[in-house]
Amino acid sequence: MYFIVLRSATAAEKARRILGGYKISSSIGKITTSKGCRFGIYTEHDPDKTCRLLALGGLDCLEIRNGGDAG
Amino acid sequence: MIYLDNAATTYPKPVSVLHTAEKALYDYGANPGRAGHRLSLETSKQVFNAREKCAEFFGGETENTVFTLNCTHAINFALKGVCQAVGHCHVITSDLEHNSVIRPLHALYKQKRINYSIADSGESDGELIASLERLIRRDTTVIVITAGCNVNGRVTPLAEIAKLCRKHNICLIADCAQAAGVIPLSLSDGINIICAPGHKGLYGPMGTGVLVTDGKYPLSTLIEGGTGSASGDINQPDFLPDSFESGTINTPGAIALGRGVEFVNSKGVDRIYSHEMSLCELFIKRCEKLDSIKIYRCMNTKSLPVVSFTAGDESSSVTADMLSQNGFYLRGGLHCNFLAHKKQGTLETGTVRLAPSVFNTRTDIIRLTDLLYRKYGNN
Repeated sequence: MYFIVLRSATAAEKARRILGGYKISSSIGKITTSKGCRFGIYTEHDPDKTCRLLALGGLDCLEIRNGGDAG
Repeated sequence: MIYLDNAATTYPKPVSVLHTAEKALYDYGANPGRAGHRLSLETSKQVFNAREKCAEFFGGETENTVFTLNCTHAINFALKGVCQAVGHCHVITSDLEHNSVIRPLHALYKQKRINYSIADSGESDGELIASLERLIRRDTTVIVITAGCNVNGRVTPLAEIAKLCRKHNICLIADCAQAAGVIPLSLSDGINIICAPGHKGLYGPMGTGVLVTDGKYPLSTLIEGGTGSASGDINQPDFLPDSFESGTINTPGAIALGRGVEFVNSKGVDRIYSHEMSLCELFIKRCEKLDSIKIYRCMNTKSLPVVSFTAGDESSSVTADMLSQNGFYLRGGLHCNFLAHKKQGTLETGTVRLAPSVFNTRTDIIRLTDLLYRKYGNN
């Protein structure tokens, strides 16, 4: 399970929609980082590929976290 | 009661909007975009759905669509946001503008932050375009203009104005207060920022509005605060929509606005326009028989379904009061737009404004004009 950090709740919801279009399951979550609270998506899909798909939809992945590190 | 004051706010609202607002209060009661618990995320999802509908409606991106309190709020964000970002600049507007445009402009002028010029709209689209072009200077940064005048209904040629703006690298801000939901409006027409109320032609609740930007012009924020994002940074987030949505948004309002947009889409903007215009035309035709009723309209341009009129030398407030006492709710006065009244010579009396919605019928208009016949008939 990976947690892909995005910049806002709106971005996270948009990401969920984009990935849904590719049949990639994901759910929205929120973690607290040193830079403050961040919304993002949990997914088991390859994180780099996921971020490339999100970039096509205009979303920047700020950070990728691994399983237990995902908050 | 026959309500014909829909240019101020539409009433009644569609049943689907009422039910959605109620459901939002019952079922989506957590703060969206704040917590990570299930109810907050579900509320965020509903807000996102509404944002997406508004964005699609105006040809924008979801994240570039900001929920505001109303159209005035959106215009202030857009106008002051662009002007603050570029420093001292020159802004052009027209003589058809509502106070929601002219007052922020004048306030910026008094603060010595801008200069502004008012274009004479003349009597045709060509005259308006020529007037705007004549006023363009080297430091002109913004043209802010109504999509349609709330007093006389005159529609401005936004696509043509957008071409002019592109040619001179000027930001075009459109005040879509009266036009949204009544005529097609899209960023694809070349408008850079669309400002619209949620509670008029989009049939949402009062206390809702949207700003939709194409993102080409950076906007400085006017209000800073908690956004639920980047909370460890003392600086306001620099990304939309969060940068312009400090504090908790009107969540049930926004969700219900999304349903209002859905309602408009289901009816079709063109059909809504045709229906409302047919009622205005019926009113005008029936008033032709009344010498004392004077209609104020621009005959050479497209018009919104709004008709201003006066009865003899009577103040519009007196006429509107008489109509109210007989169960017809229309607005008299200046409609927060002294520029348009000054142009058409009704600054002293104001006008009574007929503004139908999708829910009005020909019978409403016939009853209204029957009353006018009785009160102001030639015999």
